[in-house]
Order: sequence, then C-alpha cells, then structure tokens
Amino acid sequence: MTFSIIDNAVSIAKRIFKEIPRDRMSVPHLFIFPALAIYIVKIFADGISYADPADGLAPRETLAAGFACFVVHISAFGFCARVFVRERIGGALERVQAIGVSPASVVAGYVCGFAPFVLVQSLAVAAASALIFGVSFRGAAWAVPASAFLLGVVSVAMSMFTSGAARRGTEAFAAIPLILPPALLLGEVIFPLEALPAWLNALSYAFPMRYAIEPLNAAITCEMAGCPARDFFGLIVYGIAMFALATVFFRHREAAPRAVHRMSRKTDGG
Amino acid sequence: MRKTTLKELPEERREYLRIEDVLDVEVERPDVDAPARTASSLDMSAGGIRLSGNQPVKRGDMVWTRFSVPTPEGDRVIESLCEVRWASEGDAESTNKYLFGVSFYDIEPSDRELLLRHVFSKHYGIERSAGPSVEATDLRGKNYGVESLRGVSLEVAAGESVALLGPAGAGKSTLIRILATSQKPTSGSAKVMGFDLATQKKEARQSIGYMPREDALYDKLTATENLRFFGRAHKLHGRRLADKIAEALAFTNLLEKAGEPVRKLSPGMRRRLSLACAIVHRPKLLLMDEPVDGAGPALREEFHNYLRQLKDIGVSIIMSTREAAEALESDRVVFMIDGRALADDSPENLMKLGFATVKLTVGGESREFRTQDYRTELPEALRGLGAEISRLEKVEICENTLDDIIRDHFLPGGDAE
Repeated sequence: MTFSIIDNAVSIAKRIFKEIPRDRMSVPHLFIFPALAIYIVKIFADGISYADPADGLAPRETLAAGFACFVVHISAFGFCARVFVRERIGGALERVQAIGVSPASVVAGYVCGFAPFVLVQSLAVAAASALIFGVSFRGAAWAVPASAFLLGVVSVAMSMFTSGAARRGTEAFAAIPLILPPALLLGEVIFPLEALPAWLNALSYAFPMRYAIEPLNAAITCEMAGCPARDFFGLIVYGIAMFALATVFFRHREAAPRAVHRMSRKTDGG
Repeated sequence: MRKTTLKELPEERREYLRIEDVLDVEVERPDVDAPARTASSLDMSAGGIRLSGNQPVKRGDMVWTRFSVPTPEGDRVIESLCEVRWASEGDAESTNKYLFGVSFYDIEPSDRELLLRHVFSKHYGIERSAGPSVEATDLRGKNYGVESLRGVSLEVAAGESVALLGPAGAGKSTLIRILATSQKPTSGSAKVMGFDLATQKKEARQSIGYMPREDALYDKLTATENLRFFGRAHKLHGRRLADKIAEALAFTNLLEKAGEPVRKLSPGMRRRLSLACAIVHRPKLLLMDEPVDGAGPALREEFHNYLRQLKDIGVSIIMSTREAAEALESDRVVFMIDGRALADDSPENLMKLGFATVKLTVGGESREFRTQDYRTELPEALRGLGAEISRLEKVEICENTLDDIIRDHFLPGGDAE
C-alpha cells in the first residue's frame, strides 16, 4: 500500500518535472512574476513614504473617496465582462449580429443598460465614504458620485473593449488582473503620481482612475473649477476613446477552443 | 342603421382572428345547462376570434363555436364555449351584418394549440416567388484563419429543405454563417431572395431566420422576453410583435412556458424556444446549425413536424447535421467534407447507391448475397432454391444506411470505386 503511494507519487513527480520546462508559462511564473511583484512592492513602499499629509489632502479622505471610485470601477468592469462573455459564449451575440445589430449599438446598449445600476452604486459608495469614513467634502459634494458614475460608465465601455477584443472568454477574464491592480496603483488613490518612476507615470494615462481622481480631489479640497466639464474632460475623452475601441475591436463569436484550433490547422480543416 | 367598416373598429377588435382563419365556423346559443369547465382564453394578446353573423348578439353573451381545422390526418372539429367580448353592426346590406369578437371560455389546451398552429400558418404570409431562395456560387470562407469552405455552390428553391451533411470540420457551419450574414465569404457570391449578401445585406436579413448551434438565448429572461428582444431587433413593435410572439410560442408548443425564465426550461424546450426566436419575424429562409444533433427521439420528431409545417407554408430550410438519419428528412442532401460539396441529390437517389445484404439460412447453412434491389432479387433467389425451400429456416435483410453509403462512396478509402 505504502509502496504503491510512493510509486505513484514518484511517477507523477517525474511527469511534472518533464512538463514544467516544456510549459511556455513556466519562465513567467517562476521568474518574471515574482520579480514584478517585488518591484511593485518597492514602488508601493516608495509611494507611501512620499505621501505628505501636509499638502491639503488628508490620506484618510483621499483613500476613502478613491477606493469608493475604485469599487465602482472594478464592479462595473467585472460585471459587464461577465454578462458580455456569457452572451457571446451562448451564441446570442452571433444571432444578434446576424439580425443586423451593429457593434456600436451593442456597446451603446450595454453602456446605457448598466448606467442606472452604476448610478445607484455611485450614490451608495459616495454616501458610504462620507458616513463610514467621515469624509467631509469641502468642495462640490456632488462631484464624488459624479466621478464614480462617470468612471463606472467608462469602465463598462472599457470592459466591452477588452472582452470584445479577447478571442475567448477565458482571455477576457485573464485580462482583469492586468487591468484592475495597475488602475489602483497608478490612479493616485494610494500615493501621488510624482512618487512613481517616469515611465509608470506615463503609463498611468492608460487607466481611467487617473482621470477620475482629479475631479474627486478637487471636490475634497474645494478646488473644483467653475466649469465642472473641464474637470471631467479627461474622463469623458477616455470614455469616448474606449467606446470607439470597443466598436472597432468587437468580436461577436468565440474563437474555437485552442486545442481544436490547433488540430484544425494541422488537418487544414474547418 | 350606422355602418361599421373594419377600419373604424378599435385596434384590439381589428386584431381579432378573422373568420377566414378557420375553415368553417358555426355559432349557436348554448344550452343553459352547458357545463362550464375552467376558463381558458385564447392568449393572443388581441384576445379571440372576430366573427360575423345575421343574428344580433350583445357583449357578455355565451356562444358555442365549432371550428373545422385541417390537420395531416384530415379536418378536425374543435368545439368551444365562447364569450362575446364586443359586438357591433356592420354593413346593413350584408347578410352577415353583425360583427362580434369572442374569446374562448372553455377549450381543451390541445385544441387551442392546434388552432393557434393553424393560425400561425395562415398568418405567416409568404408569397411564393418563382426564383430561388438561395443562390450561392463558389463560396469560400475561413473559420478563424483556416480555410474551411472551398468553393461550394448551392441553389435552394422556395419551400425546399436542404440538409448539409458532413463530419465536424466539413465547412457546414461556415456555409450557414455566411448565408446568415454572420460571416463574410473570402470569395464567391451569394443571394438570398434575390438580394446580394455583399451589397444588399440589410434587405436580405429581413428574409433570414438563423438558429445557431448553441441555444443563443438569454437565461435570465423569460421565453416571452427573449422573443420580444429578438422581435424588436427585427423592427417589430406593439400589437404586431405581441401577436407574432404568441403565435411563435404556440407553434413551438411553449405557450404554457411563456413566463418561465429560460434557465428553468429543459434542453428540449430551449431548442424549441431557439427555433421560435429564429422565426418570430416570419422569415422566408430558415438557417439552422445542427438543430437536433444529439437530441432525443421525441425532440427530433417535434422538430420534423415543425419543419414540415414551415416547408408547407413555403419557408426554405437549410440545416446542417452530422447525422445521416436527420438528413433523410430533407428534400435534398448536400454531403460536405473538407469544405467541398461531394454530393447533392435527393435522399431517395442517394439511398439507391446503397445495397442490401440478404442472408438465407437453409438447413443450418448460411447463404449471403448483396443486391441493390432485394425486392426483385429475393423472390428470384427463393425460386432458385427449388426443393430446398422446404428447409428454409430464416431470411435476414440488412439494408445500407445513408451513413454506410457515404462511407462507401464518398469518404477516402470507400469501396465504391
């Protein structure tokens, strides 16, 4: 009995020892990801030590409002991806497309359909950040739910872009860790962008949190511009860009599973 | 006497089924002791049937109706107690000057479904065109970068059903998707109802109903909500949409499940609902990708009935399948492999390529022969036994299936040549 367990364990260990070097993800898993994680921790530590409460922002208030927006961002992005991928895997999206419904209509429909829920969520998280964290908005209080709402709507468009461009549903979900944590770290929620290396500072323009935090901070610090549209300009432009990208890179049908696709290439069948 | 024309009637009255929707109807006052079982109205949003007669009736009257509905087995008489919901006077000069609408008060569910399915056919409204429904020439297409369709030409007449038969990877789904305008061909041309799919896609789409291989439904929505969504995408609205939804549900035997969320429906019901979604706008061409492959015999039989009725209405049907037995139900079988159409003929002609193995057991000894026409050759073989016929113990006949014929004649390594 014991011999059998050991024998099986040894054969499995041998198999795994052979498999790992042949897996193309083994190098990223073993070396690149740990190095990246250590680097992120270093940036985080640098950022925390850089933050200065004397600059007019109480960290507690910034964190609370920033995280409130981030919650809306994650939730809208993830929920939209889930609904969209389910529609595509189920074949309904292909049927819709065959009827003649354009990608722009689908993206616009998703954005409009999610908007009321995002609005309710934005009001809820803004209220929670005010009541639970005791954030006092010295500026325009409405700017907090407005930022969260706009960010949520933009997140839906962004989610449509990443999920629609992904060949398969699994790819769409695999993209989430690549998008959401950087959005938090590069969004000036935890520490100022000046604490980041120049290249990361430039990269932060690719994430919507950066544009949402600006009017949020303005609302907290009473620096809201006379024309609110100016503070939200970045977020609105980012949203329009995401909408356009989602429309252009729209896939209405799942790619064949990887194994089947490889096999069909080998046999040159369809 | 005020005349009431049809156009003057409120919309809900105009939308009542017309008397010509059923073959024949008799209306009479019910016996006062007539048993009234559970109330069951005709849920066609409009409510019931519009009738005309020469006797005055008023709202709230109860009348007996007797309909004669054609079925494959002959005309079926449906009797039902109905309630008069509205009444008005029509043309004074007409012999049937009283117009009134009735709702079924007491009708067997199976009768109600039969009536609605008949009405579905009546309302489908296809004008049979002389030209072909589909004309595809040398179509080529890719499936995610791999050429899966390599020059297939196809012509389908109005009211004709064609089965695309072939193994996985034969290019059937690619061909269906191209015709459904879900995918562009890499070369070649195709017309649906005379509309070029390259330049008149919008016009062609109005005539196409597409049922993908997956159920392609929204699980969280009810059956009616799914139909409403797809109907609206086809620019149907209001009462017109509501009627088409009710008729499509009745046609696919799903009226009882209209309010159920799709996730609670059985796989068979989901397939039926998927078909209902494909025909909610009453297409002239129905494209189905493996609609019942892997399904049980009951669902297959139901689909055969649906497709027969649609074909009788004049709908052209193209369906793909991997199962030869399914293909036999169609008017034509196109056998595809490796992106090419290797055979295109009626199931009867394809079956003629097969043979039967006849095994005679005479006095414990087996004698076998192969024949393409055992009905002629078996009597001759029996006559050839002469006196041995008294020792004949058993006659076994094993006919080729379409699968055997395809394997022998069309697949590499077949023994036909």
